[in-house]
Amino acid sequence: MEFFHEIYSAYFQVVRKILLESAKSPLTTGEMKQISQSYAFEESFLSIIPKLTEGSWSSLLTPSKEKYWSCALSSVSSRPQELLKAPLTRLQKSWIKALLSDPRFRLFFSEEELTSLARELSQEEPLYLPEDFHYYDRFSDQDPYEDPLYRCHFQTILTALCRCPLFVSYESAKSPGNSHTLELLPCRLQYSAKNDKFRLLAVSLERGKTGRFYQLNVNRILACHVSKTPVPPRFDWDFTRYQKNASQPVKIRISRERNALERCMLHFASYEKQTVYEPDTDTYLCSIYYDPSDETELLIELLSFGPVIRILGPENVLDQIWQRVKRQHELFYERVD
Amino acid sequence: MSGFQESIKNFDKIRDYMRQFFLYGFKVRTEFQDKSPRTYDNERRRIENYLAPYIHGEYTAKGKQVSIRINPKHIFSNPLYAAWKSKSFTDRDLLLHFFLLDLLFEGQVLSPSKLCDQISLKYGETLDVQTVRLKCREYEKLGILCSVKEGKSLSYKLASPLAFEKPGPLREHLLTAVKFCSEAMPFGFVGNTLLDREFLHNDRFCFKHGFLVHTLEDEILLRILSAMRERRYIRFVNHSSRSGLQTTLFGLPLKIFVSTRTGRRYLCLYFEPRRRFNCLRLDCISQVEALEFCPGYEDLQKKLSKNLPNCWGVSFGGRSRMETLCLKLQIDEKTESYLLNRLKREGRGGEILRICENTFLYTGTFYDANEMLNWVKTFTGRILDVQCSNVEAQNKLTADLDILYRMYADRGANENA
Repeated sequence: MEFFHEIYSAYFQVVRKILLESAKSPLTTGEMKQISQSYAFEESFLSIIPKLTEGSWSSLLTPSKEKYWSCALSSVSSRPQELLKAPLTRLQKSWIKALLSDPRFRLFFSEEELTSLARELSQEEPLYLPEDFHYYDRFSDQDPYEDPLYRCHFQTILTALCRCPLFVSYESAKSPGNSHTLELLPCRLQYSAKNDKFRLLAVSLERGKTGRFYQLNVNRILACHVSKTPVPPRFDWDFTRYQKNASQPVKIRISRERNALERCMLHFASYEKQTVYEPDTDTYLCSIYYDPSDETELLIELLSFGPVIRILGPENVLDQIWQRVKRQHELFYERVD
Repeated sequence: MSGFQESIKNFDKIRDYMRQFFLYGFKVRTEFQDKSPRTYDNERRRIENYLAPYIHGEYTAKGKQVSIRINPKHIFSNPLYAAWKSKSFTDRDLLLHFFLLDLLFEGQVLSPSKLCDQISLKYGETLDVQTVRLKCREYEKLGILCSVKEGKSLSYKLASPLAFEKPGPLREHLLTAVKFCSEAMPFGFVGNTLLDREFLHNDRFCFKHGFLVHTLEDEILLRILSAMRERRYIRFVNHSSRSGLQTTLFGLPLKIFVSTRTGRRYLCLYFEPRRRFNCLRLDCISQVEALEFCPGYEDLQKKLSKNLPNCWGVSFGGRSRMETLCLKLQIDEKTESYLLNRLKREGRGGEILRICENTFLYTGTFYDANEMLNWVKTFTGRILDVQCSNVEAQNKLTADLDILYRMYADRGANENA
């Protein structure tokens, strides 16, 4: 099975989209350029458009009037909704078949639907098996994906996601035994591979007005149902405005010891970062951009590197590191003056 | 820059450069020594085209360094998938793709020569029968076309759509699931092609702790998994990230070890001459070739499964078979239950004992205590004592904690002043 094949290429996708749109109404080269930039790369239009309008692919388009082109393929006008959609490839089917063994994938379906999918794909070989992979450092308290109540909550959230408010009864980790009821506008479901957990990112709705941003563990939701309260007009479902990076990145100096550079670059690839080489010290200076709500987690990760990295700032992070290092020294050697 | 093409024939080239720009991003043109400056310029320009919004260029004393900067928490579709969508093709490949889909759209069954006639008649393109036949065979292999025997020759039709593709709740649920799985599951790029097929994108999920760069190893991974499925040995080239040396190795692939924290993925192999399991970084592997069938594959799989609970990470240990590490921690039971939770969920089955009020003992026995040290250091500020049967590892840890103290001691001096 081929992974790197032109049928999945951005160029094929652009041409397909241009054919579809030009079947609805003829397109100008400007409109084709817009499609090209949305579905392919920055300079793709430079080769795609001349080829389609006057070059070696021009049999796909017909000039309809001056400076306008329309689709030359006959199937398009008869059933445009299914336009030039290639049947599923073996690779695609075998990937879906592999997913059928995954409890997270199964969350999205009813048992009947899963049976139907399994029947449809019975002839396919799965692309991989769950036992092919061993996630050796994943947290052991993952969400209970097969628990009927969890599945029910997950599907209710999916129904409401980016559409309508949800009533949620939630037990916070900080106050076990106490539940809070919230009306929320569910923006996104966030998945963490390390925790193997879903979190609901949502904005609270209080008397018809938007309030605080919440990140709730789906497993801590005790009950939820779709609310009939209307979504406030012009509400923006984009949650990223609530998750801004800290004003200053954490800066670390990475030594050449113990393969530290390689380890850091891989480890912090799950953060936005920038690295420069400092010839004077023969070290690397790395800036890690982070969400303040992840600060403790980042601190722990930085500590795991020990002395092969040196945290240079910002002050609040440096202070927390020093407090931990100092306390450790005191625990080992009693209080030092 | 005449002759520059965005598309590429060979994925390995773009894989290396994309990795360099994304993971490291501090190298300048002259540091890509094994490539010509012209190659560097072309690859850089390609990547700048594929990932324009994420490209950062900075001038340093050594020259311009190019990096890819992405905030994975705000990424809904892996931008590095662009590399997989850059395969080069011929004009005929593209034309035939759309001609075939158009001509066979309503269930027609046509032979390559009839397809040729229709192409000439409808679109005015002259193609030879052999070219069309080869494309039909290729598409049959991909699963897009099905062949039907008519007399001595083969005719082709489009593969039938599956029932779950019909509009309805099942299709909707599947597409929502694909939005999630295209970013969270192995070979997520395949899911991304499914979304492309529908002109959809992920508008429901976001991700934390995601390692976008893994996608660049997917083709290698697919070859390894195929060999595993067929229980075959493999020969491959391993590039050591430390020494830079390339060696050709031969072994039996058994499992993929994945770290969700460090971003590393490893191939676990059985090396017959040494009679040992060994893990090698997946991103250091290339040129995988499947070899002969291994009759004892299942036995080795079982042996590996037995060993797994003894591995902290990817090491199967040295001479001493098992090493025990005891970690005494100070944890305030009333206010710091989250630390106890950390011990439980991150301790990989180690024993946790409450020794006395606010003091807990973690004991873990694994093949290689060295692998545990990074985790132990995450408890800096809580460690009352560490004892390890591997004395070297224990000394290394305490020495590291001492160095750390000295490293930041000037802060203490400022505090006192």
